[in-house]
Amino acid sequence: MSTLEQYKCPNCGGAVLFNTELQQLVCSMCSNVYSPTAFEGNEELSGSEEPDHMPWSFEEENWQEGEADQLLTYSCPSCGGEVLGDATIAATSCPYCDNSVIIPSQFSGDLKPDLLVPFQLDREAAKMALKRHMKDKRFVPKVFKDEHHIDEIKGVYVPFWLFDADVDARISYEAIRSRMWSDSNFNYTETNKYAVYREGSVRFEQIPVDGSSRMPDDLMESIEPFDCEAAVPFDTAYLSGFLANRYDVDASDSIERANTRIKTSTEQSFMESIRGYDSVRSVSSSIKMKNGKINYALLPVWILNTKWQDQLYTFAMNGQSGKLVGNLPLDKKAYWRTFLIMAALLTGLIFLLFFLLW
Amino acid sequence: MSKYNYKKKPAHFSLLLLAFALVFLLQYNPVRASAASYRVDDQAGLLGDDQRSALAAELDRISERYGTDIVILTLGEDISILNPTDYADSYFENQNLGLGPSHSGMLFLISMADRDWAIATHGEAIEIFNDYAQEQLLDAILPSLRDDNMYGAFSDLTDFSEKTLDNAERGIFAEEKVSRPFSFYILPPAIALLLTALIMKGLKAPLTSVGFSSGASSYLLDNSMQIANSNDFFLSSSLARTAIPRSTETRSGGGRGSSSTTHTSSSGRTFGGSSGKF
Repeated sequence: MSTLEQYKCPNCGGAVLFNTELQQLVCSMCSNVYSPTAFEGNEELSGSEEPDHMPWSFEEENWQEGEADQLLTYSCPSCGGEVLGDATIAATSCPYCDNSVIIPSQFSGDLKPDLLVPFQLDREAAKMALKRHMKDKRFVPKVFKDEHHIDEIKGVYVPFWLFDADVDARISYEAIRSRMWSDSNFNYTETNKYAVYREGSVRFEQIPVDGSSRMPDDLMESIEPFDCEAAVPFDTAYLSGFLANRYDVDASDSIERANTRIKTSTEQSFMESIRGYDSVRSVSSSIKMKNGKINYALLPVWILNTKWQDQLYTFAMNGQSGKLVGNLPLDKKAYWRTFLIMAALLTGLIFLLFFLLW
Repeated sequence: MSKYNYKKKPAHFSLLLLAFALVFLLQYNPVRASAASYRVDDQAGLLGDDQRSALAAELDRISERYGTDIVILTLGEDISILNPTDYADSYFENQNLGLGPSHSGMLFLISMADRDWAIATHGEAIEIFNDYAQEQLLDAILPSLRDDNMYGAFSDLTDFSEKTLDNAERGIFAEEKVSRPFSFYILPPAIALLLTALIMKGLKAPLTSVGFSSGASSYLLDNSMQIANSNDFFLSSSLARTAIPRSTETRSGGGRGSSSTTHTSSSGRTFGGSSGKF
């Protein structure tokens, strides 16, 4: 059990939430505006409540080993209601009073993020982005496009590992340059092969790798890039009004993914430096990293969920850039109808061409 | 005397007129004189009177409209002919058939003795009723001829002639029937299906927007790339030579007359045509 944090207005006691437009904390009751850093040192005032101890609530033997560790209960500082969360939950809202609940212990010690990119876009922007995302897309069922079908929109600070590295690369390529000409009787093709070698260095900064096992990695990579230049030093005040999780995938487990991406991009960028050939392919590469640095950051993501025909569709929007992704369902009927019509028309057209040209 | 002379003069004049008329009539082709009937010369008596006059009227109309004589000749079983083509040519010449400066015309002959048919074309009609047109004509009428449905066959001939003449007037001439390979019928739907699949895949693609990034190029620091060592070595060279395919086929363009087989009649005139049995 740990203490909770809730930012309350020093003026009226109302809940204070982070406002994406002002990039400040705003009281939901009296609209007073506070800097996110204004609450530093106030923890002892706001986080003094103890969570409930409820010895009767569950029977020990019903919980498998490790399962109970993943569930934590907190008591809402505003209404006293029970807030249930798993081991990674760091910021949430009270199911009874909807007030924002922040659990500072999830960010203490080694768990404290180095950086945080504040939300630049609000809930409405996410709704608009989803509308734009579905607009003009063919074969999306009409019913699905109806905005009432968005079941849930939540702003989540997702834990990411940011990798910085200098990369030394030694790459061998095989390149081909060919020449064609003809005389009156023959066509000639001369193929010249070259061994191309490139050695050099390149620097990557702040490659994000998803540190939350709940967030699908492909979804998170699809809303990249994040501009971590705009990051601020971490402060729990930014979390007010949003959800947050602490990481549950270690940095060491994320290194592999970062390495793969670094290797691919290094090879690619060195290949782009090779000019004057018709084709180039890499034969071998040796990539060494140095000055590697890993930062722990919370990055802003809007998650939009909707259920349609018993299937969950999840959309994610980059809370900084507004890039929204998410797979859309296919209207199979419309798709195959168009397929058949197009196939029939094309068949007719090609037959006509055949008749004219054969 | 003068009175007598005076009275005689008109008589001389009418005699003279009569003589002129006779000479004129004799000089004029006797068949021509009865212009309504010479285009259907049913010596075998295969057609009824109504049928003959209906066909003749139709042929007259077409012949005059397009300036090409279309003539049908039937020979009875009593007339045995050695060479139907020669007979047709001779008939064409003797009857002085053909219209216009080139004596354009087509004669279709059937002989019931050996069930022969022959076509003779002359002048412009050689090109109009070229070999392919004659093939098409026979494809259309031979079944009727074999069934002894002569009127049906000749009616078809009349229709076909009109269509062919009309096409020729618009510069369209019968062409060789191209036998198309199987792939001609299989390829278009196959190509269409493949194209549709590709297009539809493209149309469907925007529905999927979630996927792993292949690299990290967005996080590559601008101008951070430094190439310390760069070498390009020449390894090998190979030369491939392929002969340029030569087209062996020399087709003279399907211009007018290129597909008409001609021969020279005994009198030295050029005829086109064909013959066979039914």
